[in-house]
Amino acid sequence: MNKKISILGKTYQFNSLKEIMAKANEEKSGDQLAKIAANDVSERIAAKYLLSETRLCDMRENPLLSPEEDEVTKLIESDLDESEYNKIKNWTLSELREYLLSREVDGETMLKVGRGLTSEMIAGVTKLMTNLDLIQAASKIRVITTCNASMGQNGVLAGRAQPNHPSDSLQGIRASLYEALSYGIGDAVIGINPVIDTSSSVKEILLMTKEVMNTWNIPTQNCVLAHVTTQMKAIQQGAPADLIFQSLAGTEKANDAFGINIELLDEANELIYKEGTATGPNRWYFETGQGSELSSESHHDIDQVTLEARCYGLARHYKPFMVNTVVGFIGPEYLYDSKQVTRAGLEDHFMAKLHGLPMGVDVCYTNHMKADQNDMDNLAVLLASAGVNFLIGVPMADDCMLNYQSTSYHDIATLRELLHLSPAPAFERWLEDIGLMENGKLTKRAGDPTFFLSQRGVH
Amino acid sequence: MHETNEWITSLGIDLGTSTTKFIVSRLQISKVSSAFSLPSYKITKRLCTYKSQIYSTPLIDDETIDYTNIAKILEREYEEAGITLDDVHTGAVIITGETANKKNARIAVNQLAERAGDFVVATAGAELESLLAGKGSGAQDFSIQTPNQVVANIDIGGGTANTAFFLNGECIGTATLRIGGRLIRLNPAGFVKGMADSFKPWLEENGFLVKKGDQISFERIKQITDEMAKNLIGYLAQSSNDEHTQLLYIDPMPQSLPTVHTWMFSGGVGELMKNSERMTLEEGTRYGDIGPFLATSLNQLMKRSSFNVLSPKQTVRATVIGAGTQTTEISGSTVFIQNGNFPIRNVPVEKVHIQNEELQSDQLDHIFSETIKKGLSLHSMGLDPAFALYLSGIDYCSYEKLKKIVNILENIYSQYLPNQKNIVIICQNDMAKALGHALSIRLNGKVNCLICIDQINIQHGDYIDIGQPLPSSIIPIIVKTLVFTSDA
Amino acid sequence: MIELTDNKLALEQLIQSTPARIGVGCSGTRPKTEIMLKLRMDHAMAVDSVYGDIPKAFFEEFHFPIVQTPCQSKEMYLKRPDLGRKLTSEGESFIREHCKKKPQVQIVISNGLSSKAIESNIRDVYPALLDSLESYGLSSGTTFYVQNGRVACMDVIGEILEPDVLVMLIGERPGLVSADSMSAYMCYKPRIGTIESNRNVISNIHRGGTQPIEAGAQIGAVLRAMLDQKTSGTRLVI
Repeated sequence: MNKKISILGKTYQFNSLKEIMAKANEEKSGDQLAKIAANDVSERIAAKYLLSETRLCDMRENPLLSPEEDEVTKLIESDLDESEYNKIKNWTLSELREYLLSREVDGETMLKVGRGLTSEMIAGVTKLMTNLDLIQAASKIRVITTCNASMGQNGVLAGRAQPNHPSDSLQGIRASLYEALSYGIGDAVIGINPVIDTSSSVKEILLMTKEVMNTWNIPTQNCVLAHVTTQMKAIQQGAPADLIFQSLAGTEKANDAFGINIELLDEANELIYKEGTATGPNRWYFETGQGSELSSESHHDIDQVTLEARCYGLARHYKPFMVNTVVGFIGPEYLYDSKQVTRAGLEDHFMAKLHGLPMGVDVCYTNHMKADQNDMDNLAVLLASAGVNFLIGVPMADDCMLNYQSTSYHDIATLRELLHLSPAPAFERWLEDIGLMENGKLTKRAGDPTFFLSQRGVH
Repeated sequence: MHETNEWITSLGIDLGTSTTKFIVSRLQISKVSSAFSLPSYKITKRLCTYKSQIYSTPLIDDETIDYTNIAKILEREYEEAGITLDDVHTGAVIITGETANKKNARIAVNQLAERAGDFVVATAGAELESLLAGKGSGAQDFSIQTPNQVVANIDIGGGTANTAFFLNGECIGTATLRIGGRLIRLNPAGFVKGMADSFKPWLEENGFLVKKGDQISFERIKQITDEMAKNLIGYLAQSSNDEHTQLLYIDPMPQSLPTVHTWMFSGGVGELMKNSERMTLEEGTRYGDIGPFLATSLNQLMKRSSFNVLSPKQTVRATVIGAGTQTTEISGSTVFIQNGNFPIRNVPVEKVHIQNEELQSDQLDHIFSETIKKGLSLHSMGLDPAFALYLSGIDYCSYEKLKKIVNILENIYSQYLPNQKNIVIICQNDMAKALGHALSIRLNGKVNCLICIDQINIQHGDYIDIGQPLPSSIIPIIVKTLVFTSDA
Repeated sequence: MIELTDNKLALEQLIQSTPARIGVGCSGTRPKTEIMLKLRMDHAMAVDSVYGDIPKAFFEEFHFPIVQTPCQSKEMYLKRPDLGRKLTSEGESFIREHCKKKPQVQIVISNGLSSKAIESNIRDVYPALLDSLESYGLSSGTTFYVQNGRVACMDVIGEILEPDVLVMLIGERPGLVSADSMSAYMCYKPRIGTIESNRNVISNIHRGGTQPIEAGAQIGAVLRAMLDQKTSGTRLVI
């Protein structure tokens, strides 16, 4: 494997694949904070050159984190489709990039190839792609999953209703949920981030959301995004959960900081298939985001794009219903400004899709990041064009509990109109049935949360 | 975060016009705050775990409650429920309907409360009775499930019909009329065995000339109860305005009534309404009164008017369940307690309502001293504390405002109540701990006991009982109204 | 154009039940102008709070000595949290020379991510905190201010001044509901290497959240408990 290159009279020498991978990243404040980023732009491009010549088998033989040291690596290794891998193991990353972008290669084929790629290979090819490459390649892949209802079909843009409340008031959550539904949002999931991480509180919220779903016969799924152990307790106490949720990180040590490991995920997996209320085969909801490994100092000097890819390697083991990256939540020390957030959002979406994941993105930012609502508008359009499975819907984009800004109920409705996308099929039929949609467009009654007060359910 | 749940036992006793009931309930107190905020607790569950049989209220004669026999019943029920005095954290004895008019009502209910447990309080009053019945019957919960629709609960016992109106879980009004199943007592042959004096004027005005010893027919009884039902529902639904209805008023009546969407009937008559059918005179008088007749009349009227009537979760026991499960509240959990000797019972509360602009001006001094003077004139100075101060209306309490309030409190207490050794201050806002610190520094040992609690709404503004703080400084509080129509 | 005129009372009730921006209506699929501008203004307040400085008048009122971290600029502060956890060498020698050593309670104030948090809350929290210390019989050292500090600079300060307990009042990352929310981080014997779970925190301190004077009063109670139990963080029983 070549670690030295001369371009335009200047020689660039790197010590390891890990260093090349890190320096080939687009600029991210998190890599700079970890002191592994390229020193200047030309060093970055030089690293990309070297990376482009690297063969897939070189990558497999030089893991950035060995399986003996880390259970995430071990899982990714053991899940790899060897026959697919053997077909392409002598390709360079450059060849892989061109293959994925070629017109002859469709989404189905890409998903098949993806099964033979480790997360590090997928991260590697991502570093060679421009933003438009990422959009183009990702847009070919459809990942359809089913919990109670299905999403991910061609031409579908789903939305998570995220009706959070700063003190978990059931009335407040319900009011915000009515607003979401009135804009046709909630087909991905009705998902609440609770303030109070106790099983009794989680159960109450699950019961309330389930009641709304039953009253109105809504073809969707519910989830309360507490720590997985709290959800497990709530489910054991009889709480009606369609999905089980957990945040993932890309290393064993970082997952440890989240209070999880593969054994615990396996246990939760067994529980949700046994005790969960969903009818379909996909029962997990995962969230990820670049930078979380560094924030718990468990990054092993690996760059944040590669670590993020490893989250997807872990996630695909559990055949989730939905995954999303909370791309701008972590703060400016990892993604400094809108340019970095935009790049990270497109990278994460592409990498997850190539892993075969039903990927959504929480297009978001915090108030100490150099970004604003206009930047989110831009990224949301880019991702919707790239075929993102779902976006996050928050009232006026302002989450009054998590204190950050995401995309709004209005935004998702707008993107659907603008790019001729629809809600998930069953959900769209439901919207038409109750009169909130007509011929694929929101009706005059949309946008009024009292719609769900005036009539007590249908059918 | 670990789960913080604590259970306390609360009991309820209802001494009604015709029946007496007893229940035991368990209240769950849970931490509802995250690890990053000030601790905050709420009563999250109120479960009824034991219900007594229904006793006829023991009376010595028409005017006197048989306290000794009630005490005996209570003793037996404690045993039956498997609890001892030590198990009881809180609870309420409520004396309702006509029983509150008996000669020894106040003494009986107070003695009973003392006997029932350390922190069991005596309560009475038509408003409170209506409210508790509406909570106990399930009307309040139902109103939460049906947003923006008024739910009325009419609790009809022996002597009164207590109505509470709920909108989105809040009680928006009460009204009580002298309508009950035991206002006329009959034997199986239709002979009148007795009548409530307070009911006679209405009977006379309506031309029902009946007196003790008369025999009245099935049809006549039905005419009376039909008229009673018409007066009651006509008034509550604002559909008919019968001038005779005024003779049934008990307390000052509300100025206006809301438009009711759903009706519930609880109480003894509510129970009879569940299966009132055609009956003979003998069946109708099986309880020795007109209760079954009244139930039939009400059912027919509600059906005829196509009103939306819903079966309550509790009927006969609605009030006692309300009393047992709903009277106790807890204070905010950042409070200040210096040497309290709990429980502290029957502290009258004087309200100091402060407008925000007044906090900026010199009027504040005046407002406080007027309240203190009023308190001094109303309450017995033999007690210490003579009364508690309730500070309300402050929208945001800055340290500057706090300092101003502390200065004034120090001045007025040393000026008007120099020998007072116990000070109790209740704040509507979350500010009690800061107030307590600042005031205790200022008073510098001049009083024995200083208690500042907060986040309690004193709506009826009367008396407060403060219980022994539980672990995590949770303080059970009972805000109550002590109204006796005859003060014997 | 969707007009929300029907059922106004019901809508009002829904709106009242949550601080979330609901019941806002729309034109086409886009929000109404006023509500859109309100969002932009709230964000502007938050951004200005991150990038703004505490006015001079504040320091004239309180006379807190000012100590620097190596973060010279906001950009550096935002990108290098590691530097916000240190003091400059001038800062270190200043507190070594001018602050009371081994105090029972050390109070430190820092702008953190919101200067407005300090400007709006210290006036209420600080005197209430001093009252509660007095009431619990605790004495405090020399209070000072750290410009561009992070929570973990408690450890460096603890190492130098060796207080029994330390409380740091620091501006939180601003939200849109409140750009001036403050947190109080507390620790028993903070020293370099103290782990996160050894600290206790009261957050969301502002007019519309945890009441500033009550927060001040409660900090005293938490510090008293730390001194009594000789521990802090998850092991502390309050």
